[in-house]
Amino acid sequence: MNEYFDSERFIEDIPKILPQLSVTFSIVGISIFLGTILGIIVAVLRIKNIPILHQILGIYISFMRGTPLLVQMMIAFYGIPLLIWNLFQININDWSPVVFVDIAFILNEGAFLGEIFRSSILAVDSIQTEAGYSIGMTKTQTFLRIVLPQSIRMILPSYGVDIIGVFQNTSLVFTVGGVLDIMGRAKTIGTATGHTLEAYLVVAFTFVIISLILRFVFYLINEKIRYESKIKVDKRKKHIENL
Amino acid sequence: MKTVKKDFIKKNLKIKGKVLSCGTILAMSLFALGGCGQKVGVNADTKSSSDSGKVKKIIVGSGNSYNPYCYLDDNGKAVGYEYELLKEVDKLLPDYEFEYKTMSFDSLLLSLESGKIDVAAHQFEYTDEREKKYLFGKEPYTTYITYISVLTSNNSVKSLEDLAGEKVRTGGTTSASTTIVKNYNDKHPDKAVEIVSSSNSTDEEVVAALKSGAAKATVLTKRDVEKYNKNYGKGKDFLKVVGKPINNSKTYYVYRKDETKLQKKIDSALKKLKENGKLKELSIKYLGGDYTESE
Amino acid sequence: MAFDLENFLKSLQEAINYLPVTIKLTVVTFVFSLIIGSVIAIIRNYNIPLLSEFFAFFVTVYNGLPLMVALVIYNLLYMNYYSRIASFFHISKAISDISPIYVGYFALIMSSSCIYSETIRGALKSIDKLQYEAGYSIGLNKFQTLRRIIIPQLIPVALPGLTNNLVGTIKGSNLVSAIGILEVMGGAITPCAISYSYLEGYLAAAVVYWGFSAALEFLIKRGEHYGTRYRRSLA
Repeated sequence: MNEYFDSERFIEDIPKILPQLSVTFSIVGISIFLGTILGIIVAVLRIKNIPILHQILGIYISFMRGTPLLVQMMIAFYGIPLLIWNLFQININDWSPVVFVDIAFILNEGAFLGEIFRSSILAVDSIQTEAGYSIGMTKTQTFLRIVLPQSIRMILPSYGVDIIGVFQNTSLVFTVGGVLDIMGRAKTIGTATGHTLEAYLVVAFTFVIISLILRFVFYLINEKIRYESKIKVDKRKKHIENL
Repeated sequence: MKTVKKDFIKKNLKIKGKVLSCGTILAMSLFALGGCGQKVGVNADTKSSSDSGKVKKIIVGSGNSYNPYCYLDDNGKAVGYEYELLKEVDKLLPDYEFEYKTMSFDSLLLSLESGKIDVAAHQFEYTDEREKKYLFGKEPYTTYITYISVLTSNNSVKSLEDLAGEKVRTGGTTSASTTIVKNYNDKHPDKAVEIVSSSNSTDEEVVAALKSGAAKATVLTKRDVEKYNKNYGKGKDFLKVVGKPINNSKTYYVYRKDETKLQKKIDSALKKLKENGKLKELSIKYLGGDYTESE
Repeated sequence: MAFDLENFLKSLQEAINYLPVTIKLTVVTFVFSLIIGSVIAIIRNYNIPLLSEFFAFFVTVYNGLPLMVALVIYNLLYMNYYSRIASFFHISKAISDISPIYVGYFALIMSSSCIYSETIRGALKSIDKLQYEAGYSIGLNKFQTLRRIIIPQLIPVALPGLTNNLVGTIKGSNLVSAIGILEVMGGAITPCAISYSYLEGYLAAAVVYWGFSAALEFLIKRGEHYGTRYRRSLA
């Protein structure tokens, strides 16, 4: 194993690969930020049940959830320049491939988060909405001030899992061609020096460590939000044990 | 009774809504994709031919995973034979200024077509399929004769027919070797070889596949075989070429079909480099030998 | 560069030719991962002393490794170490006889088992402790309670999550194209290398995947509807 895996090369590869994390984080950041906005819009539109829009969004969500992200990225990479040329006669040959990857990620996230938001908003008891109406709030006010904050508690666990999922999905972008994130850099190191295994292992360690950190952060956030329900459970437990 | 009517209307609307929405999506997508049907790259060409007196910017694309032609060094900069040669060509053309874009091999020809780059340089061999869609330069700059390559211990394979049913590694999906072997498979369906092509394979993977026996052969040039022997042979030669060439070609730069002016200019620059010996010098420096005219 | 319908249909045909590969990958992975995932979830639920801590650690760490990274690493290790491993286990098959798809299976099963075990463990936690006690009170041992009382209650709870995970596995089977295995996406773009019309190829692959996962989701929903036909009247 010594000639195939060299721990010295492993350590040498670390400073070559880690700078590319900025590309990874930029993709994750942009897609989560804009994806959340798109997800809220999709969720609200779906809840309102406008006849044709509901169906169109249903098809959009079904497509995004049913096709692999790799295929979606390729379609965005090959199809969007063609689309924009046919619609606006603008030649977008200066755009770097990261933009298309971002668009694919945003659309993907919009669909998934749209479903998460919709189910958790609908899960808030209708009593809360009626309470809001009964004191004279308008529909928008009830939604923003009463329903949405209560739904956030149900959204947060799934949202955290989804963010970690986006981060792991960035391991696919190097296949689109021209996007140099940590996986792409590992592959080019492999072709330049002839030793790929150490580079890929560096990438694997990076993903695992950052995923663990993110999971821990979301665990802390969830614990913080859950503190009221924790008290209720303890009280009930004591009551049963006293019987 | 009123509620029954309301439910009926709602159901009707739902079905109408589904049909209408499918219809609108289909119509929108057909219009958007089919629409005008013009080539995307046309705009770039008209733009470049309009200003004839100033220095024109030409975007040149090459790869990042083909050592020693185009690869990334330790700092992530794109270096290699292709880039050095392009720099020399740029020096000889005062009215063009080259800007370099690095991408993976499979997206080079697509980026050429969509206008992201104007020249594609990645040891492109001549194939009929590529000729139909793109414009090849007239001046070649290296030879690229590919053979079947097997382990030195293998003495039974002399041609593609001997590899019937075995696994043969070729390049990615757009590589010429894949197209040629696939054409062979279509012509000889009873003696077809199993093609293993992966756009993400590295040299190491190909060598490991051959050494362990996971693949019986691959398609390489003689100088690539020498490179593998040097890097992975540990002193012994383990790879050799057999049989007649799979594709006897030279390498050319690739342009879009209408870029004849650019092609003529770069061809004349390449001719000059051949005449003053600079091409030979670069080949010896970066490729370890003179491969410009012979292998 | 208009949309070419003829190339699209050609790619669609090629893609459907390779659909059996995707189906094989998905179904085999699903069955194996379900078994392994349930075992892990049950071990963690019953807090068996050494194994549950080990699996908790392993699942948490392995969930952080993306499938694509795992695939390329396993592929490299497979090709370089196969001979040593085979002689260790006294397997006489030569590597050229083993299709590289087994590397794909291995990576997919490892990744899916961890994901499925999380879903099943969540469903397992939702079952009241009283059900276990009811089983023990009539004299069933742990294994019998599990088989006769807990698991039948587990299935309708876990099924929506598992459907989601199954769709995820279908999308994961797409990644084996990075190793060189031809499945739906690989098949759809083989005609494209000649006609250079990639958009049609990828759209054909997307349509096939979409249809396949929609069909599976529909079937499972019908099965769930049928399976919970007695429960629904209670609610």
